[in-house]
Amino acid sequence: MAFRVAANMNDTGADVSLLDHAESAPPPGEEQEVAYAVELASFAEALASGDSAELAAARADLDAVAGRAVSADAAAIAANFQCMTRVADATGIPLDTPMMAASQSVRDKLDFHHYASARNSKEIPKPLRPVARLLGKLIPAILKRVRLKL
Amino acid sequence: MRAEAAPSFFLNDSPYPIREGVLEAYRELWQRFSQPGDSWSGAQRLAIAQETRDARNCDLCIRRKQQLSPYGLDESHVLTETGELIGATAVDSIHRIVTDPARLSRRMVEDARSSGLSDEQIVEMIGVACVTMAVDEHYRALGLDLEPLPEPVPGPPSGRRLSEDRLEVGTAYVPMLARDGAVGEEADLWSGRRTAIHILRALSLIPDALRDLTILSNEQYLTLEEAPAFALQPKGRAIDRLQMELLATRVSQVNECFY
Repeated sequence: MAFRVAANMNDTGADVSLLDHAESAPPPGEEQEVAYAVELASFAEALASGDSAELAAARADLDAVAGRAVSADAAAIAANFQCMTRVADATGIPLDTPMMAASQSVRDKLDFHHYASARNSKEIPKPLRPVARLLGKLIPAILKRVRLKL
Repeated sequence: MRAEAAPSFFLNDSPYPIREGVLEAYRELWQRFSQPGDSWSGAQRLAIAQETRDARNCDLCIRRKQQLSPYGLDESHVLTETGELIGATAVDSIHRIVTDPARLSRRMVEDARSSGLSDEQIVEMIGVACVTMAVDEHYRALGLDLEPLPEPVPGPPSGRRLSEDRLEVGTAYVPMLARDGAVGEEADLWSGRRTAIHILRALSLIPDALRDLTILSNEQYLTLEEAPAFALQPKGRAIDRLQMELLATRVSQVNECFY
């Protein structure tokens, strides 16, 4: 959901389907909604999958197109979420109810429901899902107030 | 008393320009891990960190991951000298957290409790393991050699515990500080907010474990103030917010993390 909100707030047309199909992003040199999306997604995937050869290749690709400063910061973010996902799933926290409601359409689209850790969270009852989807659309507007406060 | 250790995280010859704030956070975390915690000694906390590293090359974990069930193999880890400091169940839990995150379940925590570990020990162990992993993964992602772990500071754990009436039990596998519980000595935990989302509360049974996570995330990702401001581009970064969330989501997907 954070990706979709960020896309909306930054006035890009980037869609959550990019998360599953980064290879469908325009090639380097053409206008991209997320710069270096293909290389960033491959880099993150290689780190999380634990394959050293794949990681070295993905890092070389990212270095080549984006430069080492991008790789250094990208590595920090990916490493942080290697940690955060484990904190969440080792402690068994459920998804917070407002986030559960707001991310309904994203979860439907990306099919997160089959993950083992989904059992820690209660699904929104079917009659309330239209309200949840509406809330998901309202979230960016709510978060714009956060921008004004800072 | 503090142990004298060789300076770490200076990376003078690194080809990658890691921000100084990130390296400073790592230095602080190494220093904190070397100290006695609330429920483990400094030596034990560093044993947790070492097991986090060793798990990557664990033969049993590789074979276990190929099983249909994460509990399909009736084998135990052979304990190293550091493993002996924390015991077989802690070693097993740490290895599962590192190598098989998509199949973590309540059973891991229940097994740890059954073996005699307290909820405080379990939460502190999860915190040290996950934060160590984040530091190491940053280096591994860039093909850099891992930093040596520091020398432990002697002394027993503090034994400090939050009173039961401040805890929320049953929401997660482990007790957490109640939503309105960031008061008194814990007033800093939610960064001045009245309440907090679950990921912030997950380690709050051990307030210092949450502080470790905050020190880490403020530099690797974003501060609590920056995180909800999706339109702001974080200062001093080579990537923008949309790129950050793409990376975060892709890692979460590979780890099959619903949260």
